[in-house]
Amino acid sequence: MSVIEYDVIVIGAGVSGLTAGTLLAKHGLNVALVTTGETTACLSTGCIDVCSVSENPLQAIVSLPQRHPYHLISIKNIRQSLRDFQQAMTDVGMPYEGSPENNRRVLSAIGTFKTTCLTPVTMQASPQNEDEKIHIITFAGLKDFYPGYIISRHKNASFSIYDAGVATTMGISANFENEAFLEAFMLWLEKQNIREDKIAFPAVLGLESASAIVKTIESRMECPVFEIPTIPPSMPGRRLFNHLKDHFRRHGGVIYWGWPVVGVEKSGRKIEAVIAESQGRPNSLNAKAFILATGSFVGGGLHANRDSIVEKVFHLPVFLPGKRETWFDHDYFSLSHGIGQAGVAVDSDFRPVDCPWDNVFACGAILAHTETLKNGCGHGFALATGQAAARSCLECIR
Amino acid sequence: MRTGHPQGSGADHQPDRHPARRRHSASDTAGNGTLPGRLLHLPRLGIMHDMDILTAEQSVQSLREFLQRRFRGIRGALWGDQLREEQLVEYIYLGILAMERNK
Repeated sequence: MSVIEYDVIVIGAGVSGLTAGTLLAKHGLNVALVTTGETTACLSTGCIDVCSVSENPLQAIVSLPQRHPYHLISIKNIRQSLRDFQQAMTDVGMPYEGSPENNRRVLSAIGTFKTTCLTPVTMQASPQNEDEKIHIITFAGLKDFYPGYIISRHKNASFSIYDAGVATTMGISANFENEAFLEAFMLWLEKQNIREDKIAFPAVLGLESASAIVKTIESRMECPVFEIPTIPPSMPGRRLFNHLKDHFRRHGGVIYWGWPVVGVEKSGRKIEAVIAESQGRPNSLNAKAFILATGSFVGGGLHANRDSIVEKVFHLPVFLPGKRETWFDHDYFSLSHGIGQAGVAVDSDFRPVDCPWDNVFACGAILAHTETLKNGCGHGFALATGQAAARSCLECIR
Repeated sequence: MRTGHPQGSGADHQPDRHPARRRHSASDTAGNGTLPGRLLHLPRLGIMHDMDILTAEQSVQSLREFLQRRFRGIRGALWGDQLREEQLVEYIYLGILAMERNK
């Protein structure tokens, strides 16, 4: 079995794991990240939801129930994590717009508004009310996006269909990276005689250079252009993940891709190593400290048995919302299902409560009492807890 | 009916009589299977909208009722991979699409 030594191992490559890893790497530590593969960040809208329960996200955090792990971080540090994120995204050419003092609205693919805090610059011009005049461009055969849903709620909207030669989100996005395709598309678009104030697209405007493509269309058409997040596969989510991943690597971080953790080596009150499999072969990854960022059920960090919930890597104690009957409400749309509370409870240093080891930290959606959907605290929460866990980890190993 | 649509035959105006379309006509027959089936529910209703079988309002309402009815049926048996799948579907409809209980 091969043995590799690091200062810190992060388990999970979602927004919180990559954020924690980047902060540690910036402090000169030797950091590796192990992941089973693509993360739930790739399914997301790419928007940074900080807390959506009221107009001002930071004030909304203050009003959350006392058990919410957001209360373990100072508002100053939450603000800092958002600022660091915006700076990093600006540096890689995918700026994020918005401020932690104001939530904003993003038009969804069914015409509703999603509340969020920071948005990729490609969604900056998203309308803030139902009366704005928008023209939607869709693509022949694209089955994940129907402008009819939006038009039924937005009476001042109309649409045109372009035949991109392919009919998948990924295929159309890849085409937009091609200059000849973009030019042919622009010639078609200019002939459409669009009279509305803004032009909307499903989020297929390129892979990594979306912000430049949006700018090109805006300057040629002389009106604001914005993307509408689509159901998975979601390009804005994928762009966010890819940029965070590159950012981590640029600071010296190493990623073990497709290496599921299958065991741990422990000694006294310390975890010595995690065993990760690569093509069926076990590898021992040793480190001074470990950060658990494996996500909730969808991410694969938690698994529900019939009457219990287990944390899959370290088998840490998991907070249960009660008996199984209380896991789900009767109303599908309630957003308050008990299961949203499930997860790993942590102390003020982001160490799991009742954890038998001193060098394990946890962050992101695996934390107990988060209630991501109800509180609208997705990636913003991941950024803040990722940095907070990394700071505690830093103190621990120095 | 719009002609030239890949899903439309262009000749049959009685959707429930057409065997290929009957599969799509009742919202509760769609998507009872695995995850891809349920994720396809939105596109499927979108196609019906394009075929002028349903209005956009009707198709979203149909989806809402479907999700609610279906959930009541399975909530007592959610654990393991079914629970994981359910969480993903909830995240897509209520998170990404911001679907509300009532319009």
